[in-house]
Amino acid sequence: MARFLVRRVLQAVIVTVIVTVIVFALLHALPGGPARGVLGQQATPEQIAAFNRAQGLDQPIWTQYWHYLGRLVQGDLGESFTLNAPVSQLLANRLPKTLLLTMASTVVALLIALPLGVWQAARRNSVLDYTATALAIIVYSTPVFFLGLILIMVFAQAIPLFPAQAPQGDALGDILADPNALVLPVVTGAFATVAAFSRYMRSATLDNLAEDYARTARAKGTSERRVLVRHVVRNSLVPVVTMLGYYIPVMFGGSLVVESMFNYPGVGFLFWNAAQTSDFPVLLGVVLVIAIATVVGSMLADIAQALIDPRVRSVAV
Amino acid sequence: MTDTTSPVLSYRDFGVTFETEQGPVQAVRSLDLDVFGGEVLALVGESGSGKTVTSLAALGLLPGGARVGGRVELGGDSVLDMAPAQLQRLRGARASMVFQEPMTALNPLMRVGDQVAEVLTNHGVLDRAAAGERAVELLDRVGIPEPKRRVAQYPHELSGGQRQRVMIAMALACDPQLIVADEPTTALDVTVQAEVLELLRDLRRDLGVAVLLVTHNMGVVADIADRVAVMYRGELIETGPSEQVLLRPAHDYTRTLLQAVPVLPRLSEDHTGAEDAAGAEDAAGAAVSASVDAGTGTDTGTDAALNLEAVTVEYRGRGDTFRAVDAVDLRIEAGRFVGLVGESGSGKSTVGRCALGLLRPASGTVRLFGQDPHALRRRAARSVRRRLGVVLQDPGASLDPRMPVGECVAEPMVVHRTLSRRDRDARVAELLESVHLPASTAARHPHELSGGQRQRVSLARALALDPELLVADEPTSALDVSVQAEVLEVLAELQRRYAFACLFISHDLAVVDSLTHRVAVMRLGRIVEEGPTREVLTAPRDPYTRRLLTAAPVPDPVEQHARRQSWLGLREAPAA
Repeated sequence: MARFLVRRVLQAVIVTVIVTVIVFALLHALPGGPARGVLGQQATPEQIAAFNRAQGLDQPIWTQYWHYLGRLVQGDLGESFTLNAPVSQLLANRLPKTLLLTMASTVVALLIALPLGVWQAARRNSVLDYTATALAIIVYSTPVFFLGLILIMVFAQAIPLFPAQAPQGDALGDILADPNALVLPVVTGAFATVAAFSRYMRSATLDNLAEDYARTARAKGTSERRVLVRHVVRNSLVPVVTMLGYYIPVMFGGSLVVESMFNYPGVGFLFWNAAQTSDFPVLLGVVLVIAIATVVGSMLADIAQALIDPRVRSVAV
Repeated sequence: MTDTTSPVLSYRDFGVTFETEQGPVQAVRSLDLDVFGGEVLALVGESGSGKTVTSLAALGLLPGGARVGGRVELGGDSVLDMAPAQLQRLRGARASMVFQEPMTALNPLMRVGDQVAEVLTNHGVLDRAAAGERAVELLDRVGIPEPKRRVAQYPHELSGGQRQRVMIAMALACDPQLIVADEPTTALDVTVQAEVLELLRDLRRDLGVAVLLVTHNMGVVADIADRVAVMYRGELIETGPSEQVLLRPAHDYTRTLLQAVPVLPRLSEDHTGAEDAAGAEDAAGAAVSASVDAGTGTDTGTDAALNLEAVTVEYRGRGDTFRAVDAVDLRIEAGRFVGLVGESGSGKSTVGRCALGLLRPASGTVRLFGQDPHALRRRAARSVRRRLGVVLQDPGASLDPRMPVGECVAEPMVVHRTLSRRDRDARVAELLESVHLPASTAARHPHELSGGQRQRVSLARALALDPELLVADEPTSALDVSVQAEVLEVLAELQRRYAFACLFISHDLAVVDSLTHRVAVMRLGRIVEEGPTREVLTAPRDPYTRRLLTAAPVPDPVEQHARRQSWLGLREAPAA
């Protein structure tokens, strides 16, 4: 297991380095270079040259990458063009809030989706199963912002149970102080995840119910309920957990919409604003963070899989 | 041994119909059958005969879409009328099951001890702690070494034979009246199969449990069954004591079935080797190569079709390397059939991949028609590959499901740009005809064909370029005996017609006997014995070959009894 962990972490590090190369390349692929992005279309060649010199952009590309990497290791992601603050500081402030939102959404979603999927598999092809399937497909194919708008209309305006704006504040504590205002953003974010993961769980459970070992369990006189709970569910979780690791970028994508919709002061909202003002250092900083989160997420998923499945564990030892 | 008072399990006018999209399919028709206490009743038949469906009904385990008629009684209680809760009390307690595939039949995420204990806790026989202790005893009872350590292991940490023993331990746990065993040894190597059958025999003797043994293997029947029931297309066509059914079958189908079983030659009792070795090679090969000119067997000076010298293949695992093939020498002269036999993991398929030039050995030399396939440049390598054909075990997997059969067969000709399009079609028709398939088969897709037909298609494809060396890796293992017989016959006929050499890889010694001139026996990556087939199979020099031969059951109860005795004798002797 220890060797597996070391190998898996090494893989993650390599992928992360590749990600930094891509992000760095993107930074330099901007039309006219970063200088145009900052100084605007009216900038004179002299102004651009001066900017490039000041930012070290006139040096050879490898030197630049090396410096970029050096700064990255120190947590320096550059300065925001528009917000007059280091990108790292902006991220440090916003990231915990986004994590709070996405984690809450995901946990809520899984608490609903996994039992729902198992229940649908147990009642497969019944009217209730079909109904749940139809709802899942409708939800999954509806844009998040549309779902959010409906929720706001119903639960903030028609029946004013929750505020239509997310909790505001600079510190994480401010956000937690107003849990009521978190309800609609969390629920909006959870919707698509419930739809997707109830589908995964349903099909994984169905596959496993048809496996030989499930038949063996029945032949031992195990009740259908116990076959499901004790044998099938754990086996079905193996593929679903892996899926969850790859789902991280999707959740970030969702948080982008949810945060800008509810005015939630997270990374998604930051990204949204940065995109509108062409604030490239911020955009690329966020991309880098999401990429690393994805790498770490899939690594955690693999480790979780090894914990669930002794076969993976023993190959891993 | 049979208790004639009242049957443990009885079927009366039993029938099963499956609703399919093509309409109802009757899997079993008005079947009457009794299984008595303490007897082993073998239910035999080929795939689709309804034997498994019949056996599953004993525990009420038929799949949802099945319509069942008639009566099935277990100890006088009607199984078909039971409510789910009653069935639960019956399953595992009064009647239990052993399935074919011990890897998939066990829950991969659960310790084997817990899986055994679950039967006991299910039926409230013991509490959890006591059930855990009992599981250790049960594993010990079924002959698993170090049961205390094994209970805490997961299925993938056990060998195939041990997994099947775990299944049997589960089946025994609650002291059932009946054990239904569905092809319990089919997925196992012959030596392991012999051990598992020996265990079943012990248990039947010690516990007096009735066994309904579903199998397609007549050798297994001869080995262990008291009575036999033969099924054909959903009907029970013959029932009787094993000796009677196997030696004096009453029904034509039984007779055909038995004739299709390839039979091993009788072992000579002499351990030192055969004096009649001279000419033995030709005698064995006579079945297939009457028309092969005598010259090919003797001129060893020219280039052999295949020559492996001191070939070693290693797979690098985690940290350590595993030597799959260890210093193997193997020579196949042009036009000769050489069998390569061994149990799973012996390295025989790896040798096959080396022979095809697909795998580069860590050391040693591979010569195909005198050339090293790994030293050749692209064009020369292609021309060597043109002279090779390959047939693999599962035709369902080795034929492209979306490609019509004709295109499949023509593909090697397209790849190697031999023949024009029109000539290709004619050649495809000719090839299909040579494997006894109508030319119209070309337009069909693999899923429309039976397993045997599919395997004949892969044979036709392998022969498309008129190869000089055919590598056949377990080409008939996935087929029913009668279908296997057909395919083997086609292969022998083609060999007579086209005179190609063949590396025939198989775990089945009897199949090898019917087809090959020479045979090499592999064990743990090494060739332990090589020689003229008939000589090796009747007078093996290596103790492992001898064990392998005595472990392979033959469909003659009398001879099988003798074989078992000599196998038991060898088993007691320390392993070589």
